[in-house]
Amino acid sequence: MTSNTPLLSLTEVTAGYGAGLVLKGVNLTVERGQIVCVIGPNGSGKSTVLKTVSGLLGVKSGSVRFNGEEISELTSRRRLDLGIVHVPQDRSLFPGMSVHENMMMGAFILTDHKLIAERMERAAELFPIVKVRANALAGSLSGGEQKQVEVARSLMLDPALILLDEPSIGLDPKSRKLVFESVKALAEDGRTILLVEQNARSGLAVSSMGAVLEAGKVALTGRGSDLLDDPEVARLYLGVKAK
Amino acid sequence: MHLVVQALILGTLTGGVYALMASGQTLIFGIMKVINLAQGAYVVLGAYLTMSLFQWTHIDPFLLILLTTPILFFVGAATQWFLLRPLRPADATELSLLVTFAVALGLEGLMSVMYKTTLRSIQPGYENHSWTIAGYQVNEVRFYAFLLSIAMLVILYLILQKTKFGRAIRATVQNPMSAQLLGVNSNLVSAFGFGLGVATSAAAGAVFGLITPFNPGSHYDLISRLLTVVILGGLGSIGGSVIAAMVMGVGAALVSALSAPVWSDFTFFAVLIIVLLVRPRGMFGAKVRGAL
Repeated sequence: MTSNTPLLSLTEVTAGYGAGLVLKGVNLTVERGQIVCVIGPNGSGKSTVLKTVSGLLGVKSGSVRFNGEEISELTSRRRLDLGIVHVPQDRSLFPGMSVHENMMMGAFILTDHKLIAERMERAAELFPIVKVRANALAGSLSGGEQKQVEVARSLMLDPALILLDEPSIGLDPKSRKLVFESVKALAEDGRTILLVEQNARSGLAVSSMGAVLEAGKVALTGRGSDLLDDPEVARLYLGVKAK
Repeated sequence: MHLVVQALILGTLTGGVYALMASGQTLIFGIMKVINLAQGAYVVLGAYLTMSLFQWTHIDPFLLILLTTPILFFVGAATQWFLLRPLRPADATELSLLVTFAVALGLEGLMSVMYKTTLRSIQPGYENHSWTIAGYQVNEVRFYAFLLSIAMLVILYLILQKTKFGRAIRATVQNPMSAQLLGVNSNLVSAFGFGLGVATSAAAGAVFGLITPFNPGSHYDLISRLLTVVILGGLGSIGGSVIAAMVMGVGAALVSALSAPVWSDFTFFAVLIIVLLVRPRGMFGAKVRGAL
């Protein structure tokens, strides 16, 4: 591995469910410290990309390299050990457990209590809700608050890469704002994030790079701000009429 | 009035024993969504194990629970690992009914071969002792059994609430995919959880064998009572099962005292039918399901 090696690279990745292919040759690169936002229509395979990286779904062909190491054959647990944390699209908190217990579950694979306490403090600095509502049942929080705790929980492993799957989906505008503020907080903390977002405008706005996924292939990549200014992207995904 | 209070005492003590049996059943359902039709057979197995060990060692049946609990834990974990784990997730809930029923029949056959079908009981010498308190009879064995049930439920509670393993179990119950993403090995949790649920049968079996004559076919009666308790409590809620067990214990004892003992068993089936018709999610199903 050299210093130029990207943190994550997908090369001609195909994957799917049963006999059908959802990803049909995806090429994507994520550099350290970047937030890369993947946008695209429903069914284009955005969430599937994240699943192939975290190991929830195996690849049929192609290569997934992390820190230069081929990881496509590793179990999801092994990828967690490498520092790849997946925050899925559906609400992933444990509703009958307190916020504190949910945070502790984020450190499930750790055994060093001192380290866990330090990570908890660090997460609480970025996301005060973790401390303020520590004893509240996670299921009693608003949608936005729950997403904040999910993101905070992902920090318990001090991850090298966070996979964020449509964090704003199904949330009201106020909660959506909270979520994107969380993503910004992660960015300012120097985290590397692969973000999948239906809300393309907000997603690209907080991202350093963007990729447009269409029918299982990356159709376009560029800086987040450049994609926001791209008339074709604006027409297709940002709800702006072409000039 | 005396009769009613006496029935309340007896019902409360019996309810505690049902609570212990049902907590294992509920734990298993909570983790794997498996309705374990073999739970009654495991209780009877626990009773036979306790009886055999008692006859062999002459150690008090209550103390023998320390030996029988790990044995039944491994029996349960092995059942899950070898018979339930291979089921396809999509069909697991339905097929597990057949598998656990087959396990119950297999255990019944095995016990019939080993012990015949004669009714047996565990007789340490104090099984018929009673205390008289303010004119009311309190059976010694049932009282100890009640205390044991409370102790086992407290231990189960502490395991679930205060240990990392317990947290992993509750997390798997509430959101299996998320638990897996955080590094929980759902196969191991399921095997341990099933083992833990079956392990409660060791204590329940010892108590059952002390207060009731039993034979290998006794599991049919037990499982029907257990299903009533867990459905009344709300599938997947241990707290609900404990309350339902007390309600059923007291209810059946009152019916027995105020009408005739023969109607006591019928109480369970009447309640089961009423609950399924009126409130199929049970007393606490909607509120605390998934929270164990």
